[in-house]
Amino acid sequence: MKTSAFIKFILVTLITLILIAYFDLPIIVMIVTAFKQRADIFTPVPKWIFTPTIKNFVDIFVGTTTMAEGTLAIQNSLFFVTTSTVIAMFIGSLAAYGFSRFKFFGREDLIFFVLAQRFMPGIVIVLPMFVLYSSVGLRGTALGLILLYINSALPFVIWMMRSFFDEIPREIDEAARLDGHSWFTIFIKFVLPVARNGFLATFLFSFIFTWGEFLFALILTTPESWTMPIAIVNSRVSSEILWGQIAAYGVISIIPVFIIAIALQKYLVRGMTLGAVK
Amino acid sequence: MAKLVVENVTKKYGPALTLEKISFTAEEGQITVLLSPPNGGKTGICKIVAGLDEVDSGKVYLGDRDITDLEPKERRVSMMFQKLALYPNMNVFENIASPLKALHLPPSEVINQVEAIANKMKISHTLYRKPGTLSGGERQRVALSRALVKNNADLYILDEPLTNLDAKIRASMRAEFKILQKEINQTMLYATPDPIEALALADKLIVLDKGKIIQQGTPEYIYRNPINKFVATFVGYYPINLIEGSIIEKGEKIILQTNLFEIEISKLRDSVKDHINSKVTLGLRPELLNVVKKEPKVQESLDLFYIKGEVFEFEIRGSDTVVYVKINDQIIRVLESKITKYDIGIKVWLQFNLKDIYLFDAESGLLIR
Repeated sequence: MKTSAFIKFILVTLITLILIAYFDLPIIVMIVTAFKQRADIFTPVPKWIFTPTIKNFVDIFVGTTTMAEGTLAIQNSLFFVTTSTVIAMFIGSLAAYGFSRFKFFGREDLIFFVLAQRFMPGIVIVLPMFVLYSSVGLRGTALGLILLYINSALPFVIWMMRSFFDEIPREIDEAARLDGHSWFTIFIKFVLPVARNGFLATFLFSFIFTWGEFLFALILTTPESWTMPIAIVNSRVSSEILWGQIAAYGVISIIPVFIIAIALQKYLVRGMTLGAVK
Repeated sequence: MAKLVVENVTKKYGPALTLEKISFTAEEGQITVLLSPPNGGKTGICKIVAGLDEVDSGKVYLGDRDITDLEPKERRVSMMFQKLALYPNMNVFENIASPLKALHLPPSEVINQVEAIANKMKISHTLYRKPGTLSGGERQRVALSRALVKNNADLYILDEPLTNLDAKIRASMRAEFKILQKEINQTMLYATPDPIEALALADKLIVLDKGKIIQQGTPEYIYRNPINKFVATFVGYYPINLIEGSIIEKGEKIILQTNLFEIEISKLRDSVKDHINSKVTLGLRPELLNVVKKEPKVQESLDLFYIKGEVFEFEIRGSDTVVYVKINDQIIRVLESKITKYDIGIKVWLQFNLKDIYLFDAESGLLIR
């Protein structure tokens, strides 16, 4: 290897390592902390060598020491987020298909209006939502949070899916129409499978956004309907904040996202292949 | 099988294209070819007949049914798309079976029909492969099979079915297509931008430009009697040579005067008498011209003309030779259906017959004779 190539190799490796450290160090610290005993967490100089323990995880699930009940929070999060994402994907994809394929008066204005909902910070509507939910009895209910999460995921789903549908040649729909299929069959059997990669990518992003949602969950839930992010905040007793448990919650809460991301990775990377149509 | 009648169809497709009062008939069991340069309105007409686009005004009849406002699936038409539109997520079998499944036929019948058409189109070996893994020619056959498998259709629409193929496969598919059409004997509407394909396949030819029908008739008729300069230039194997000039009267004689040459056209008096002293364009088809190397004897017959020029360039195309003859500063193309070699720059004489010349009004472009 030439000297210049060697220096380049060293530099690239170094920069890569720095970038990895920059992005992943907080996660590494979190994972390490989750397995530390209380005394090891609070040492003035961070300890990298220690006796690991699973006490923090046990505490979460047994839930004797804090206000938060770990098992319930995980169940709530999984149920709310999965249900709302699946429903939002179904409704949003149908809407996106309509926006992509049918010309109607005010179409572009309407789709801009849909996206514009994402421009507004959540804090603007959180108070009205609190009043509204309290008055109709939706606060603290599963239905209430699922409805809210569907609503907040829809603009993203519609916008993303529309751009994926736009890339699919109209001739596919037209050919299927001439074959004699109904619009719904065309959507389910002919168009959606071609947009599969885009669909899965949208599902993943939508899932991650909702999984980490904090503000509305904080205001609109009661202890029975706390989600993971809210359980983390409540991992404290009157005298102290339980950093070990918080870290353990963090580790658990990234697991589902991590699994989904690994499973769908090839679809995210591969992009759309429409070679057969050209 | 049924007759297609399109009556006064008008449709605006944005600023670039409007179909204006399109009227034509596609006779039962014949191939009617729509020929136009790109964006001339072929695909629009195909989609309107198929029911994929709505008309602004006008009527479409298929047999004795008014199909103007029917849904595509109620029209009993089948269509093959320029972009083929094979379903990339399905294998070849499922692609071809799609129209049959929509009819809710029993599975055994679907299998029989798909296998029959696949055999006929020689794609049986590809049935369980995805379209993405097929060659261009195979995909074309799959798309054609899907269009033809629907045997309850009254009309088959083929929108530029051969355009995406490379030249060699296109020529062989064209021949096969003609045989196939004779075999299935169905009414077909066939759109193409390729005049050679149109002339080879059409029973009836419809020439369009910018959303309007310019001329319709049999291919032979249109080739021999192009209504204007556009049709003369577009419909043919090689572009026609156009030379600007004017018709003047010198005593008893009528003379066609161009900046390249003057010829006497008194024999055409009846056709040109209304155009004396006006500007005209002379059209000479390359395939009706000859190149003579030796100086000809003075006018053996009054109907043959010889114009002196020099060989500018020549191309041997297989068994044909295209010679470019330079007269003054204009290049005239000549197509010789034999192989001839020339020395560049030598003097030659361009020979043509009075009966083979076309005269167009210079302003309107319309054919005078």
